[in-house]
Amino acid sequence: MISLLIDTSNRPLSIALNRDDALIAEINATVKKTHSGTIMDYVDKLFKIADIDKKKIDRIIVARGPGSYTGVRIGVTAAKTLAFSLGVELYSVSSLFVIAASTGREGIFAPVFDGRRGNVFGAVYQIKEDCYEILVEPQYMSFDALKGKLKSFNSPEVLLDRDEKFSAGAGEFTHTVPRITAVEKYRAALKSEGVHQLVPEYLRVSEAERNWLEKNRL
Amino acid sequence: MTEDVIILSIETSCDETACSIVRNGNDILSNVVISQIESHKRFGGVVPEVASRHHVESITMVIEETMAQADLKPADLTAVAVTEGPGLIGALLVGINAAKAFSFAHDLPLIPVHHIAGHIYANQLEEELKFPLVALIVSGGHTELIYMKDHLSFEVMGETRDDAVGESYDKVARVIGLPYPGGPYIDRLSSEGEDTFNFPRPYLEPGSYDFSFSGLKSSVINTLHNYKQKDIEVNTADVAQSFQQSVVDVLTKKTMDAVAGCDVNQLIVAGGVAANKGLRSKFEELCDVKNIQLSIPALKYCTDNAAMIGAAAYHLYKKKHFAALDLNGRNYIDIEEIAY
Repeated sequence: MISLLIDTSNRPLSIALNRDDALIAEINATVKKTHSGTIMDYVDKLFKIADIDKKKIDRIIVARGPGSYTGVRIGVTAAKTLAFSLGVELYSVSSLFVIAASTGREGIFAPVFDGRRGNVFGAVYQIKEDCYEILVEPQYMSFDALKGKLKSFNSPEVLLDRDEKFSAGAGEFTHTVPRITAVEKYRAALKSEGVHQLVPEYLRVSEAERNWLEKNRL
Repeated sequence: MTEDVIILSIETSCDETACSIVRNGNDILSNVVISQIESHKRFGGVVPEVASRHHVESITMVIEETMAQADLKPADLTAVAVTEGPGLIGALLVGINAAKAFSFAHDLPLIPVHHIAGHIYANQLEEELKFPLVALIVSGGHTELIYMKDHLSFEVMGETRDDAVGESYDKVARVIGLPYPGGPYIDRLSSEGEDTFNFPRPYLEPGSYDFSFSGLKSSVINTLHNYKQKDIEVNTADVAQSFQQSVVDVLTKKTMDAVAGCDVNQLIVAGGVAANKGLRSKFEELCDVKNIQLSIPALKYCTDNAAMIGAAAYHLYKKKHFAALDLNGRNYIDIEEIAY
């Protein structure tokens, strides 16, 4: 089975073609370019590098968020439209889990993305050889709250991209950028999606809606 | 016999998720528009992040519906076109990436289209453009006066220096308690009122074809504020009519001056505000007197739609104006940049 994997949730870009969970080709970049300009160009290049016909893929796996709203939207839009156009299955994976899996190691990991004003989008996973456990579900919370939760786990590791801005004061962390090729073997992390139904997992309503809800609270 | 050019086009520059298939630049095989207006109403205007979120929710459904209505397979298509800008950047990016993915998947050439060019070419869906022409594009995001001596040749004669005309309508509507979008509501209410306030007509410096409606808007707001402080009740229909009269006077005067100075064969008025009855009837009256051919596309082609993008894309296709897969969205593009 051949899968195309896509993650543009934050500043880095990670795309890969896997055959039966194993890497055929991948492009990972932390170059400061807009995903909107690069993603489809790089997907095209990826197929050329792998020497695979796009019509031969069986499924697409996309990082659904959380992350940069625009970044996630671009990956999800490209993945949806490709799956629709090529008539292949579509799966999503949490962008936070992509980071945990990208370590390639076993352990307890707390991947975090900046959520502004001391807040983060974060989760806690325990990764073993071919399986994993969600210890804290992906959510938007203060970094302090997450650190509180981490106290109950055995030597957890905070995973963060040191080149992304981070408003919370990171403390000790392991610099980690996404390599989405790594997620496919964790079957339970892959969620089957309807092409039309898939929307990004923002984990936050937009600011305008938040203000509106506040004003119109009954 | 030349082969048909069948273009699937996508437009997501603001709050409409739109897709269409147009044959040979004027034959609409399908035209699907999902408006987000009900969602944005609660905010009193389009919220960019909310618009972008809605686009990603409906984009593939809209494409599928467009293909189904035209009863075509991807193999029947000649090219894919998409609005490159100007517009809300986050909104544009959804359409652009969907168009790129579709063009990649089906090995179709990709045609980037300027949104304003689309509004002008909307007219081609009903009748041929007759050059040279002057086009007035008036909408919630744009107020532009453009001269075209031939296909794809755009010369900006004037544009807004601040608010787009539709934006001013929205703001004035809000202060007199009318819902969003303000244009149709003010237009309707104005027919019951008189121009009693005689608001200023912002003609700017002599000879200028630029527009500025923010001063007019402030004048309306200040006047209402004064009345309120003095506890004088205002007739909102008179406010609506007075505001609309000022807008219509300025838009028609500048446009007719431009037309008179260029010896044109056609005047096109397009964009959402072209649906305004007060504006339409004044243009009809003036063009009748001066014997100028006036073309205003049907309402569904005046507001944002993808058929107009397909109409413009036909000429770009013939010129082989294609984009590579690194095409990006731009919130501002000088229309003269794409001229040949």
